[in-house]
Amino acid sequence: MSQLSSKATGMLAAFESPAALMRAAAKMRDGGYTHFDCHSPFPIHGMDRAMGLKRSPLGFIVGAVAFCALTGISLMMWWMSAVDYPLVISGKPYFSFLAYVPPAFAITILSSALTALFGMLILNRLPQLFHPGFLSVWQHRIPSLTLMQPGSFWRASVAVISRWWRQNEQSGITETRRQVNDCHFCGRLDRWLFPGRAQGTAADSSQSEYVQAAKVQGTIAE
Amino acid sequence: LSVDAKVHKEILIAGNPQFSTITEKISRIVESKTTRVWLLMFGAAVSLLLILLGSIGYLLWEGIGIWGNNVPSGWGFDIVNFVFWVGIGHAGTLISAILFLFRQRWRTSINRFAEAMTIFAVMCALIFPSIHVGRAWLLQWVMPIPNQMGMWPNFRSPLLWDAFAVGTYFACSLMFWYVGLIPDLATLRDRAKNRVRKILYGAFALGWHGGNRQWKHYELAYLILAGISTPLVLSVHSIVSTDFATSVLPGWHTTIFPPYFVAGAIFSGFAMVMTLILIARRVHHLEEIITMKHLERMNIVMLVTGMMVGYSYGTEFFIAWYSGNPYESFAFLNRAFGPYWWAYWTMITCNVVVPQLFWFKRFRTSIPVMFVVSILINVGMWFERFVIILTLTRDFLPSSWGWYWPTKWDFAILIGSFGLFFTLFLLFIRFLPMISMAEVKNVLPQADPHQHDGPRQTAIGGGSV
Repeated sequence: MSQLSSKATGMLAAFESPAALMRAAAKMRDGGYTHFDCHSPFPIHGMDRAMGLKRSPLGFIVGAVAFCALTGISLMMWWMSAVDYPLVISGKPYFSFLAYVPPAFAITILSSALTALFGMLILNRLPQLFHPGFLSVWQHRIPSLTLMQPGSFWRASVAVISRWWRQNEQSGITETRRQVNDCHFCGRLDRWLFPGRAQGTAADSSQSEYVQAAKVQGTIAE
Repeated sequence: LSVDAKVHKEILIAGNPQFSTITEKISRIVESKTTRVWLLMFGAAVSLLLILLGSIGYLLWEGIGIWGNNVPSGWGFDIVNFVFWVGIGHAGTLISAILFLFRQRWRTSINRFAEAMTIFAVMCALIFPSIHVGRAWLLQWVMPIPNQMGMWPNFRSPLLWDAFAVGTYFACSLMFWYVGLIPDLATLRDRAKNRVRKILYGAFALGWHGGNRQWKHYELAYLILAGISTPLVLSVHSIVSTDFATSVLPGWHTTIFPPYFVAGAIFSGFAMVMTLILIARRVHHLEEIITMKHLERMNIVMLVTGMMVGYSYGTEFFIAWYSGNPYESFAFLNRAFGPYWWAYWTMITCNVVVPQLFWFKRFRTSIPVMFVVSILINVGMWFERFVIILTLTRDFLPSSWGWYWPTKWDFAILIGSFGLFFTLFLLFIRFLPMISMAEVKNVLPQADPHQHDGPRQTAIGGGSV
């Protein structure tokens, strides 16, 4: 197996341990590769740096939404209680700030939590009903064409796989494609919901990139 | 070794398992056939749940006159149960949020469990104010929803604060729990054999594939959720306590209420986690994941929070005397020696005396002792709320003194709320991973890329750690 078939869109390699995966990721980063991902069943501390990833912008998004929510709910409560429907309660001022802190706080927290959840999902392009990587990365069925040793794979449960898999499931590795078709429900529904997603950028340029990347790892059996 | 390195070296999971052992062990509980024990427990829980539904149905039909509440005790079992259940939830948030921010890695074995408990407890809690409003079909009036009357809620009322605080608490706990579940749901999806499971777990896993580009956003989202849930642990029960503290009644109008309520909430919540986890651990053979180390630490938390609660009882009594306010002094003497003296001394015994056993290592590492103590603490914490609320049947004017006694419907709804709680809990244990697989794997020694697999590599990010 000196090279991938022309239909191949990506390449998988499995590693023995998180440490080995992280070394590989660092080599990929230093080699100038950008279209790759490292799969693991739990987050690996330091992997972002090893892959050369930037910090997630989620914090700024949540911060901005929280600020808007705090301002919005405060204005809303002021308008409701002091302007639109002033209610005399023991002769107290209509808008005594301290009494409005608990609801304002609660709404700020609630909108921050909603933003954190949905912001994370949107940044991760979730929900996404199908990903070709499911078939091999997460399951015991390991396609013969991927560059993995079946025994060692699941034990470590870590692999570098190409992001192109997601974008080019049509022209996947033969073995994988057969399995893609097996997954009627997810595959079809996903294509129906996200028609644009199946047409990715051409894989040709990246393909050689991956072969080289794998050579860097020394995992390709020449 | 630095402290940090020591913390990371600590072996938290016994038996030196591999990653796959963890997956196998926890997923198998969900994937195996339904056991008879589970069915029996589920049947019992659903029976209690039916009692709840029936009682609520009758209540809606007949009105809250079926309860024992009457002047001078406008509040009875309903608010006792509400505060009790909301309090239970707090341990879950403490474990999932505060212990996460403090990098207490031992939390990973129990956090999923405790978070689920939080959600179900808050659901039980929300029932009580909802039905106590009398006209439950007009409940939406507590929210600022535009209506034909041109009316807005009164934002200066602590009862409205409660609606906002507890509603937010429920929503945030649910989101936090769900975010934690996503990677584990993906694991279950990939292991699923039959079609229904594939579709359901597949739908709820949202297409998670565990790439580091996903983890990057995920980890920050989790951190943010932990960060914003942390003030909730302190704020929710503080706001609940303002229901009492903003009134001008003796025994309620005190500034100690917020911290006192929060400490009590965490205390009772840990006790409830303990009761449940001891059963689950035994039934599902999780002794290697939830080790004695975890249980002992929970007992220490209970000891500490129990002391805080005891200190609060003492302070209340002291201030009642020191303030020189005769009504305040009377309220406390009435608690200890009035008609509800038995409730007061049950509370003191269960909450202050019994937890002192945990000073001794022998007792805090003994399963039977901690099981009994955890149940007693829950009984004691329920009585604490009973004492706070119902000793007020004697306030300023002796001519208006009264007596509160619950009716059978009060008891039915209390018992029924346990039915709801256990029904949901049993469903959770049956269909969702009760221990966070991803997080437990992360505390295994081989998960650390710096300490396993030979010497550290400079390539991964600049120098030694």
